[in-house]
Amino acid sequence: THQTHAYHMVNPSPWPLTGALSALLLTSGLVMWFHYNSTILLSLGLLTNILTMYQWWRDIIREGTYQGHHTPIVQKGLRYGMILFIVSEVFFFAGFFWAFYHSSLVPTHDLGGCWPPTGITPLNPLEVPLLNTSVLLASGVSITWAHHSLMEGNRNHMNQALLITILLGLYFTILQASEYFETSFSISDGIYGSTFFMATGFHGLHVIIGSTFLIVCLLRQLKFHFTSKHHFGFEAAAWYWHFVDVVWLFLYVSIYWWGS
Amino acid sequence: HSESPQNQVLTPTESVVGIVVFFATFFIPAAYVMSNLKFFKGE
Repeated sequence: THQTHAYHMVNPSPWPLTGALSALLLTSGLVMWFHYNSTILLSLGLLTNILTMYQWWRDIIREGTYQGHHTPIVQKGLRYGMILFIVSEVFFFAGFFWAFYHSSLVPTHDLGGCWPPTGITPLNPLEVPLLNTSVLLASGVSITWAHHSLMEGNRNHMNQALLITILLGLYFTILQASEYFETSFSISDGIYGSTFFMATGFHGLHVIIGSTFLIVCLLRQLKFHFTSKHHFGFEAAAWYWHFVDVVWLFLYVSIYWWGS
Repeated sequence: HSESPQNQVLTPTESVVGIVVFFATFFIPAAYVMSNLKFFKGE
């Protein structure tokens, strides 16, 4: 049959199902790990999740890059989808900030009536956290450099700038991991540790997801998947990276700086 | 320029076999671990 419209009629796919099942394995695996120190279900969850991601993304790259299904109208839908996803992520983090300000603006007597609570020695915001801020701000600059190079068809600059962005992201993750070893409080040390590790931990997870997104973009770029006019996968990764960057600025100002 | 979607329609039997295999692959190992918790408790 001849298709007389520009919409993408998707084929049935098993990946939403395997993705949902692997998410269930991941959550039960985390419970097994936290409570019984057993990593079997968690490993199974991570493995099936990685397999799902690989095969799902491969299918989408095939549809968008090689089969031409990502027409302008389809790309418009992808843009709306990515925007709504990031908005939902904003609300996800808003919850953690709400918990933080709820607990810190009017500290209860149990905490000593002060913030940081009595007995908590917070991290110095002018040391590694400030370096982390500049690392993420620099990565925001380099990803914009990558995007403009891509639009102008400057392949070498695009590759270099994207690589630099990824390296800055990995550097942030390493710094943040080493900073976690320096803390004198844990996630179970009352409301300070809980809000601190919940917010910064989920931000760290998002940095890792964003870095993965950018690494996939670099691999696709090396395989000539992006053109100067058609590269929504990269743009979505850039939006996501800026979102992660902005969340860090709020974390830095609220939790690391004001909160200390 | 693109092929018409889904050239091959699955029979109900094929769908059932596929769904059973998928669910079994994920749930059987999880059910095994959960029902033998005491052997998997580390430390």
